[in-house]
Order: sequence, then structure tokens, then C-alpha cells
Amino acid sequence: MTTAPPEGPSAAARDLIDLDLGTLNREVFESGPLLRTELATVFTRSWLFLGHESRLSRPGDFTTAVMGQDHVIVTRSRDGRIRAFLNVCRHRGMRVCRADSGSATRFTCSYHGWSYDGTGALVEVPNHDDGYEGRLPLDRWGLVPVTRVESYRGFVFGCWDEDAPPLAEYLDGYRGVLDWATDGLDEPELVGPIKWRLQGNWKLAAEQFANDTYHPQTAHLSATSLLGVNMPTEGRELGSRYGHGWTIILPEDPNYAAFTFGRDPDSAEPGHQALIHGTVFPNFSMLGDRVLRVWHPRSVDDMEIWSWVLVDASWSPEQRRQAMRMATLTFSSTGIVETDDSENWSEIQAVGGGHVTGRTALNYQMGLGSTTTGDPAVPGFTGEVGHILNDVGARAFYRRWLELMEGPAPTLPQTAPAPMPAPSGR
Amino acid sequence: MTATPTTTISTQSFRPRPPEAGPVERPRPVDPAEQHEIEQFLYFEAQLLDEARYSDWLDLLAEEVAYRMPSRGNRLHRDLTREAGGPGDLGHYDEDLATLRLRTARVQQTVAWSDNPPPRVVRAVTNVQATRPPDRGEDVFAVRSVVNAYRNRLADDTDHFTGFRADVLRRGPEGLLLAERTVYLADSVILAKNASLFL
Repeated sequence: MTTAPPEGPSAAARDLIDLDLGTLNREVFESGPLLRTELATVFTRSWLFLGHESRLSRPGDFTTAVMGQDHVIVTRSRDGRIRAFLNVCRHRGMRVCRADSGSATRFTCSYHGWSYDGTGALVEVPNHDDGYEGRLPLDRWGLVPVTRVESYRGFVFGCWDEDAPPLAEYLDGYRGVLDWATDGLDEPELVGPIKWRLQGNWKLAAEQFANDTYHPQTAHLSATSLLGVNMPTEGRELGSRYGHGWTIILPEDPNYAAFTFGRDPDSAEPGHQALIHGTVFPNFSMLGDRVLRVWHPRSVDDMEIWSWVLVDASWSPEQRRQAMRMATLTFSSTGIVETDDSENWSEIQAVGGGHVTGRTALNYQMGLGSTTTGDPAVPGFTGEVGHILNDVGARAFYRRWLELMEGPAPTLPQTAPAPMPAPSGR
Repeated sequence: MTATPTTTISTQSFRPRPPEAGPVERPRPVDPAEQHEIEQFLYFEAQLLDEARYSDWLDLLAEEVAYRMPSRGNRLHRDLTREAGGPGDLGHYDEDLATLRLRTARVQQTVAWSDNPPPRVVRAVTNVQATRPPDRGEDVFAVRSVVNAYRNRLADDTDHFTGFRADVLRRGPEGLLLAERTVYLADSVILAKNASLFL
């Protein structure tokens, strides 16, 4: 079975996805031009995960992050505000900060010495007086700020789109997941990341975490059998209009208790679910044992994975280490579960370049037509909900992806070059 | 209590030596027969891993074995003592005998898809420097070595892993045993789809 063939390597996104039919042409994982469009739309109009406030507790604390392929510095400035700006010197484009994290009052470029403070303002230019004759308008050459930076429950996000909804609205019903993840922790602390690279389009991982509770019984059989985990059979798959997807189960399921967090295991109140996995569109994912992920698109067939664990700073060293060890054992660069995911993603990519292969539809039809709207357990959520084995999360992911791919790019920060004022007295 | 593993980068790294400090302190190697025995142990261990003889490999591990591979980061000179993760940080391995048994049992199943069909791995172990840590008796050795591994999987899925290892070996009834290993890969970002091989 084939879909309408794309006209060439830059086939339009709308020709590659048929949400009514529940199919997707795998060109979406293979096309370089589509990636450029993704970077210009999907990654500029979405809220992207930048880090956690626990890593930015004191003024000067910084961490680096990537938004799509744009490298940024995230820092708490002296006024207490968390800010993010491009990690790129305005002079000749050098990476300003080459440490992964640390604490600094200034970010000084190692090429010609332009120096920026914690607000991104250009505060020192060597030879400003003789080379530039004091005429360079420093206030016009600060680091390019990320248009919006907002936090929810300590999770810091950035967005380039002035018109995007506020973060809390954008998170939609997924707010509940971040609530559950932090409610059980007195002092949430993000630890990591560890990083590794994979041959595979970033969406392969993002959509799987958004949706897929179908694969573990096959893909992860070697790990689940040894860990004594039976995959849950009862639960729900949710898909938000903003493209987020996640899977929740009832925490009474004793087979899965160790891998899920819930609001209160003894409570029958709404919100009494537990997360298996989920993705905040486009590329911020989470697992029920508080492993956090960002899938960075390095190129159309290459992702860099950043993985963290959310712990409680008040835990004993032994408790903390146990949380790390569990994450390392299961979902990590060496995880006995993860290893079989990466096998699938990289081999999907490896066989994806063929001409005929690229024109063959993939199946996202599970649960098509058998979803409902809203979930009584997730207050305010108006998206689609289906049985735990349902591709509704993936369809929501690609519906939003298509909407953004077809839509406009946002107005980017004012980076028009500032003219040099004329020399005085001439 | 185990021997202190070699620190990766000390507070002295990249700094001129203070004038009051004496000249470099040279290591006091073990005698040649012991050096030979230790090298042969490491080579045999690498062979067992190359051949995926995991049950046999487990026989070389001490009951109290601790196997770690911390993550490495890019830090400014002033923060260099934090460039490799400690026990409270997220790393690539932090194992005891129970989890090493679990990991190897997984790979021995036919449904461990990442290893069936299996990769081909060649490990080269070099720069073996053995000393006796103070106050640990005659049967404990601190061994620093370098490992280079090449992994080829399926057709052109190829990875290189290079790092140094800080080991503690102790003598058991059957011979030397690996009691501690910390693998310091030279990568901050693992340039492979997984690092789930033992180095």
C-alpha cells in the first residue's frame, strides 16, 4: 500500500501525513528540507525545555541548552530573573560559553574578547576607544535574548514566538504530569544530563514517548522479563491539541508501582493516575520514574539525547544513588530497556533512504475512530483520549506538527544590524 | 573500604606547580612477575568480553565488585574537580554484582535485539600501571590501564570507545579478581547509540 508520492525531496508536509487515514509517509524522517522547515516553525513556535530551576539557584548559575539547533545559555541574572540568550557572540559568531554549566558573572568571547553580563548586555569591547573610536552602540549588540522564558513547577522553558500561549496554557493537561512528578518531592533537583548520539530522526523518539505502549511487550521483552515487569494493559493514552501525548495507568497496578509516580497512592481523588511515558511537544519527554529527556535534532538522521533524573535534594545519599542506579540500569546510554529502543530507531533510519521505501506509508491506525474527548481524571483537558493501546498520542503529535509546518514562522527578536554613528566632529 | 580510585583531573591540573611543592613523585611499580600476572588477567578479561562469554567473565569479579562509568563534562578550569560525576551524579554505569548479573543475563537472551545478531567488539588494553595501595596488604593492587574498543555492528554501525580505567584487583582463592573498576571514557557526549558494552 502506498500513499500519494511526494513530488521530490522537498515534498510538502501535508502530502506526507493523512490523519484521517492514520498513515504517515516516512519521508518525514528523511527529508533535509523538512528539517529546515521544522527548525523555522516547529522549534520556534513551541515551548522548549531549557532546564530546571534547581540548577540555577544562585545568581550567576548557568547551564547551556539547545533549542532545535540554536545553542543558548540559560542563567539566573543578578536581578534574580532566569534568562536565556543565544550562545553566540554578536561580533564574529563564536560560541561564547563553552562550559556545560557553572557559575559566571560575565560571558567573555574567547575570540576578540567581547564580554557580556548575566543579562546578555554587551558590557566590554576591547579597543572600543581606539578601534571603534568609542562609537559602537553597545546596547545594540547584546546577546540575542530568547523571546520568552517561563517556568512551570521549576521546569524552565523558552520560546521564540511572542504569540504563543503562556507556558501553563500550552502544557494543557500535561500540567498534571509535571504536578505529579514534583508533588512527591520536597526539594526537586534535576541531575544530569548524560548525553549520547543516535542515528535516527528526533521524531522517532519523541513520538514513541508520546504514545507507544504497544512496543514494550516485543521490543523490551529481554528487560521486562528479567525485571519482573508486566506491561500494564489498562490505562489511557492522551493526545493534546498542542501535540503532547502521554500514557497514564491506575497506580494500583502492582506490577508497575516502582516505575510510576502518582499524586497519592491512597487517594481516590481525581489526578490519581500514574505516568508511563509522555512527550511535551515537540521534544521534551518524561518517564514515570522521573527520567527526563530532550531529543535534539542535529541533522535529519542524527539526534543527540540529553537525559536527566529528577530527585529530591533532601533524600539520603543512598536513596539518591538508588534513583540514579535505577535510571542508569533501565533508561540511559547503557540502559537495558533503552538499548533496544535505540536499536529500533537507528535501524528504522538506516533503511529509510530507499526510493520505494520513502514512498510507502507507515501505520498509525491503532484506535482510529475509537477515541473520546476529554478525560474526567485530568481536569480541564479537552484533547482526545483512547485506550492504552491507541495511537492517539502519535496522531496528536503529528497533527500539531503539520499545523506548525504549514503555518507561519514567528517574528524573531530584533537583530537588525545597528549602524555605526558617524565620527564626531566630521 | 576500597582503595581510592585515580582522580581524573586534580585540583593541580593545568596549573603551575607551587614553588614549595617537591618534584614529581614517581610510582613504585609492583615486581615484574606481579605486573605480568596483572596484565595477563586484564587481557584474559578483555578476551572473555570480546567473545561475549559473560558467565565466564562474572567468575573474574569479586563479590563486592563496584563497576562505574561516570559521565564527563566540559568545565572551566576552576570547576575541574567536578568534570567527572561522583556517586550522587548521573552516570553511564553504577553497578554491583547483582545488576551486572542482570545486565549479562539480558544479553544472553535471544530477544535482546540490540545484541542479536551480535556486535563484533575488539578491546585493546594498554598502559597497565600497577601499584600496591598503602595499608591494603600484599594481595590488593591499584591498576590504571587504558582501553580502546572498536565495535562494529550489522553493516556499518561502528563505534570507538577510548578511556582509562582505575581498577582495584584483589587476590582470591582462584586468582586475581576485579573488585573495583571506574571507566573514564574520554567523551562528554557518547558518540554511539549506546555504551552498553563493558570496557
